[in-house]
Amino acid sequence: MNLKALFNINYFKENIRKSKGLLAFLLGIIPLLNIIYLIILITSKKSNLLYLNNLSIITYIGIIFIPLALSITLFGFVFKRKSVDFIMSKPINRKTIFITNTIGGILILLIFSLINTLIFGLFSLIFNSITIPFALLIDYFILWFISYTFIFVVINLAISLTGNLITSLVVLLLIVLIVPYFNIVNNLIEESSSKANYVTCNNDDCKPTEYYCYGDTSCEEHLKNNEYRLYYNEKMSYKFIAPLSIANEDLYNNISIIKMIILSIIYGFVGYLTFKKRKMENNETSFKSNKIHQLIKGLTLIPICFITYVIIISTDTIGWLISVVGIIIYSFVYDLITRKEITRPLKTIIISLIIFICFYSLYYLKFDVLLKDSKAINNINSITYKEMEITDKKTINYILKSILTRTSNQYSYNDLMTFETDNKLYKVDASINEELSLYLNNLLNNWQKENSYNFNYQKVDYIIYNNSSIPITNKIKKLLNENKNNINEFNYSNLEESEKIYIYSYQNHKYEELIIPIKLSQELYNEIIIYQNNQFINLLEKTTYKPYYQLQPYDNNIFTEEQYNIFNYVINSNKNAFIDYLKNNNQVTMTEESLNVVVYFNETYTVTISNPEKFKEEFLKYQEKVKDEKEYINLINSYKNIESYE
Amino acid sequence: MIEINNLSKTFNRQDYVLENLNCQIKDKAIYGLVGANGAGKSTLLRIINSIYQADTGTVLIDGQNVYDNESLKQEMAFVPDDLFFYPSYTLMDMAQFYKALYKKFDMNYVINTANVLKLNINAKISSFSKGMKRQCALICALATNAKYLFFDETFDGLDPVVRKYFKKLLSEAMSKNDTTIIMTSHNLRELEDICDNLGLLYKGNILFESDIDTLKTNMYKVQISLKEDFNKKTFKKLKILSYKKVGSVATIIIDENGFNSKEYLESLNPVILDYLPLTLEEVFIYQMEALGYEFESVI
Repeated sequence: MNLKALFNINYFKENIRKSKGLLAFLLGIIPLLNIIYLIILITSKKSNLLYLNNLSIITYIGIIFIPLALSITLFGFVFKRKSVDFIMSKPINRKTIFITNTIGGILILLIFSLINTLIFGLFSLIFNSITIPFALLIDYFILWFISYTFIFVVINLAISLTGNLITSLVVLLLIVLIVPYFNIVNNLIEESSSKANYVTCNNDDCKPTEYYCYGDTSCEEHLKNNEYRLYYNEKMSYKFIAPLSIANEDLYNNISIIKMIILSIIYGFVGYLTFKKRKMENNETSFKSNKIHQLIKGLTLIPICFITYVIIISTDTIGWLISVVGIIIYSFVYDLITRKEITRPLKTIIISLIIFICFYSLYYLKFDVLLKDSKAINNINSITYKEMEITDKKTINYILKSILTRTSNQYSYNDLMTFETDNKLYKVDASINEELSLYLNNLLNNWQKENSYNFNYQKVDYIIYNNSSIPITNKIKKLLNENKNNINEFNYSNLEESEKIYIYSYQNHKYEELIIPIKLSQELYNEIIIYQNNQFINLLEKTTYKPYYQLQPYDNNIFTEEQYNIFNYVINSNKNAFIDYLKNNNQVTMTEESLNVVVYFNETYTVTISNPEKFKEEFLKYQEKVKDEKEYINLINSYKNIESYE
Repeated sequence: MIEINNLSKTFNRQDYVLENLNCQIKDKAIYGLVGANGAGKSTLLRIINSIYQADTGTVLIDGQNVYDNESLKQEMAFVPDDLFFYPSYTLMDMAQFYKALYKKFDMNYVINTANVLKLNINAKISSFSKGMKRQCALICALATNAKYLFFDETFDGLDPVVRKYFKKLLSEAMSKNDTTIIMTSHNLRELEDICDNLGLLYKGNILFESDIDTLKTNMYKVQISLKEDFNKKTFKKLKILSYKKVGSVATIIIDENGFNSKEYLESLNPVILDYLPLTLEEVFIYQMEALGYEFESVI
């Protein structure tokens, strides 16, 4: 196969050259904004573990307009007769034009995506305060390159089908947004309904021990079929084009990526055939065929009719009038914008009103008829609670039994769980009693331990202790790995916040979060505490500002309430002595008592001080030095006043 | 040779812009295509240049179908009536665009011709006058060294001096590359000077075509007066396209078609016998009248 016949590099170069300024601006604006975003993050001085959503903030903005601008640059000539004459009379055939522009456009998007990925990668390498795991960079690159390419291919198809820019934009939006639109509307319907649903329990393992309908006939009817009341919303799993769904929870999912790739190939092929057969005389109007024009206009009425539905249900008769007039005006405005003329106005009105009635009826059916039917879930395959997935049938039945049991005199709280059946997800507002709470916490404890034990510590991307990040060294990785057997000695439910280190690892397109007890081993404890203490000391030595010192609540009653209140003033007045004390007492032992002092300076800096009683003596010396200072006296007096008032 | 066979094109599935059009244009000739507005001249040129696809019929050049034929289009250059230039492009930029696509494109030709015409090749074309823009388009088309050149309203906007210069360039191109040129114009006088053949397009079809020499040598305008009274029947041996008599002098348009009219008319001992040359416009008018068309509705 002659590659030159498919991809004419000269034509492509010239095509790009003619719009190089515009392209440079459009393709440069996103990387530039990304750089500004990263600089803002760096200057905030906080350590940042970046998620895919963080990396995508700016890139998201360009999802439509960058591919659109690129597509118009390459294919926009078809919208004007003059440019059609110019290009189509040149010695290049339609196949070569389409393939050259499509492949060339994809290459530009590839470079564009690489530039963005490189920017993130370089910033992550150069600046310690930004953490972007390599796997996340790859995900970012794949997600956005494929998403941009998908939109680009769809726009090319839309341009091949239509005769002007505005209509191609309408076609583009219909192709890419119609499924997300239904997803959003469906979720809106589900979330706006607060009706009771049911769950089917046919065996004693999940049947509630106590259950009352309080005279509700519907509830009694369901009870006959072993259906018990459960509050939930159906969660429509959205895996079409993830970057286009506003309400999408996981931006990256493999199904979405595969769908976009397959659809890009299909749309690309359809676009190619359409372009080859395109009637080049069809320009400066929407479609050659009036029937297709009416069809596309009709499809645009789907979201418009949702608005009219909302108007009608909230205003009644006047709503109908507003809607009918609105639809007619919309119809004419659409014709004027896309065709620059209104042909057969009466026919246009009739068609638009018929479509309006049809779509209105569909919304009415969905909202007011189908919504009234309560549903009953069958066959729960899994329950997800705080990211812990439970698939064991016995456990599922136990949880269900507990949730469904209604005991009026028992303390309970509500929490969210996700139930998954064969093909659907349900967001359940579960009532959790004390017994179930203990049971779930125990499950969570064991699940976390198991995760921690099975975790590959070579893949750690980020560690947080006391709200600040800890650099990942091979030593820490080794210590975590070597001591993971000790995890069983800890009860996670009893761990204080200052006893937990949080470990993040980007795996399977998301961060896995692990909680590890810092006292897993003395060496690990030392490694982390001494690093944090040194950070704290460095900050105090370098800063010219006056930080705010706070003694962390400490339950051994070594420090009085008054000393907690004057702590900041006393330490600030004895800053150098305090630094010296910290330097000379930087050894910590995990078996001994310790206390924490925190300063807030963009980020939280914590110092762990061993032997609290010794530090108390040191503190009393500081206090002695400042006891005659006016400000200190005022502080003491104001504290005493508050105390006496209380 | 360009062969157009049973070519039809409609834009709305009802009214045909071109309908069963058949035509042959021989090589190394300049073919002038005339016709009223909406006669289909531009559409025909767009189909020949495979901008539009014909509904039915074929256009063959040197025996090959032109539609989407990349290699054949290397030998074709088209200058439409409504010119297109990329925004902010200079003549040099446009020439580079052509060079990227036409293998035989001659950049020196562009530079030299622009020099002669005093066109600044580095100035933005958008700042040029209408005539200068057309000069740019014509220069680029001629620099392709294509074997077939198609010009729609070729000299529209050019001043007489430049027009004459381009006619010279067209002649040079013909002799250098054996070029075949098809051009449309409303101005018959303009085509008269340069075309070898003329075709009249009317309602989507070629009404008639002929080479200009034949048209001019076969038709004469004669003013005649005889001693005795006379009328049209007196000249029944002649093929008369038009006959008008004012007083004793008649003005007759004769299509000789091999017949020696002068000898015949002299044998009638005329008092006045003047043979006057016909302009191409007049030739067309009388031909059309002879074919039964109202001239005003055609041209």
